[in-house]
Amino acid sequence: MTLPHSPPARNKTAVSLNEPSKETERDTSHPGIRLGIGLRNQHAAEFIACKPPLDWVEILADNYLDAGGIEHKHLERIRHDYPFALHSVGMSIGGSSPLDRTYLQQLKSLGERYACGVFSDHLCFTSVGTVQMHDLLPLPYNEETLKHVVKRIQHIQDFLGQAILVENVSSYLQYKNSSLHEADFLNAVCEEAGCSLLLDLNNLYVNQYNHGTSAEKTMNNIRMEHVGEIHLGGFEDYNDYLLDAHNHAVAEPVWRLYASLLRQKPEVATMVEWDNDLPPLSELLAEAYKARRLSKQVATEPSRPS
Amino acid sequence: MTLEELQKQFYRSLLGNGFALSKSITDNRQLSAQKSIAIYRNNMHSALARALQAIHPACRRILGASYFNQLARAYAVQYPSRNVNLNHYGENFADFIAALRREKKELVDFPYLEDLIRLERQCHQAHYAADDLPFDLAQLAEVEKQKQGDLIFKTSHSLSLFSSVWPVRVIREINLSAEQSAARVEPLAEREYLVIHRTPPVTISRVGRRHYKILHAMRMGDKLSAIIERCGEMEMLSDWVQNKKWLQGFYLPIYNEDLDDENPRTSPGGSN
Repeated sequence: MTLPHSPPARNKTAVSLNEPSKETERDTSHPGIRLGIGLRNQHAAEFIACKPPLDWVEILADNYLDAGGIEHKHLERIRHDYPFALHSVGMSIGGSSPLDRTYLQQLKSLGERYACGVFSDHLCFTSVGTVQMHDLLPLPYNEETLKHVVKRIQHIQDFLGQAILVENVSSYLQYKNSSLHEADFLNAVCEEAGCSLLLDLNNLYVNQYNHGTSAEKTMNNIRMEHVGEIHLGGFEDYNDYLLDAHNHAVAEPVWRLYASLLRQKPEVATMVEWDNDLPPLSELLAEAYKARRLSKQVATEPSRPS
Repeated sequence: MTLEELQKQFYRSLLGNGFALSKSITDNRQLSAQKSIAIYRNNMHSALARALQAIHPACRRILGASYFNQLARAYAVQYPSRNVNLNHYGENFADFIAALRREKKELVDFPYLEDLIRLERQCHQAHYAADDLPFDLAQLAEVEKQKQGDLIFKTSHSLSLFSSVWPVRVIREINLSAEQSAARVEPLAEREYLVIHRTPPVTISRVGRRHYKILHAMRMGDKLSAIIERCGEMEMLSDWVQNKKWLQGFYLPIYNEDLDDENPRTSPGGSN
């Protein structure tokens, strides 16, 4: 239940992130990552016109819950040329109130309408009782939460009729009653619920900065077989903390994490997202192409003795 | 503390001004518990304010971004969001502003604001309404003459009606353009009747009172015969179907004699 992958790449060399590249067509010969972007409404018309060389597109389901409008016309056009992954923010996987079946049905219908092969949402809670918080609120990592989210993911998967991907979130607090490390928690969720991990490397880095954890260590403790997709995005630096605002280019430390991950999982599906202070589409695409270049560079590195 | 209790504590800390959650979270060298809560509180309010801004761009321009955001924040506390779909957020915003205007001197100069808010909301809903299927007027000719009075027309999914004694259509137009909004707004000499519809794009059309009443009756599901009796002949029907696309179909009620006439089944015509 991952995005379509190519065969894994092999060798390793030093990585340079600054080499310019001209992308003119879809690179089907390269055995590395399958590349996508998070499509935003403001970019849709230009995206249709320029048909960028990407392998897939992520659709933020919450922008398309209503049935009509020009936005769906754009999606219909784009779907002709690209597979869609459906990403959402409202499942409230870790929430304590009952799962919102109306919302799940809307996601399922959207998935059917656009033949989406992939559903994903976040490992967090977004509602309390009937109130929607419209933010990705963190969960304590402990046995109680683990049991709770595993059960809910299984319900969601039963409802949708397929396994989902769950995304690790950034956070600005840590709970006193967390007893598991983030990587252990993520591994256990995937193992017990039978889902995959949408690993957001920017979120790992934001957490490192905000909580003094090690993003590299967390990443290395995640079992790569669980990783079905990578998210790359940018943050806002407020000096005393980083905000996962998706309003900047991907930061260099996050690219370094990504390069490190590619050495472990070279064929991973990767997506670049940018939600606020949207740049021109060309700038977002340049970020995505950077991921592709990086994967090529990693693929040609000489292998290291194990 | 259970997970559910923790989440309720989180909710109270975000919607209120308290920091009850502080007891459950760790202070670290960079982020105090109170600062952490403040970040989440700000995230939630920013998301909700952005949603209201997207629905009410003219209102925001009139009030200014800063004051609009203050109102959005107060609204979010009084009317917490209960719909995961942010397109539907703010259904009580007009009433909230109306109540606030009685106590806030900053709002006294904007007696039309509630109507503008309602109009903007209807435009937003029209933008996202479901698409209509094509409706061929020729289908009407297939209805037996003696049954034509029973026809019930279905208006477009995106169509809604609005009337106001304030020139909110023009106020909205001006405030969505680069022009400066007029300093003082007077009520209209006569109430204005408006039809909001996605052509696309979303358009606001002025109509006469009679046409407004006909569309209103159609939306209420009144039969054609009843509408003609109250409002006169339907000379505009083909224009509404073929040009304006305000109508998307019709149906004929089928009465089961074993049931009471208040519960008709329907036999569709045109699109469904």
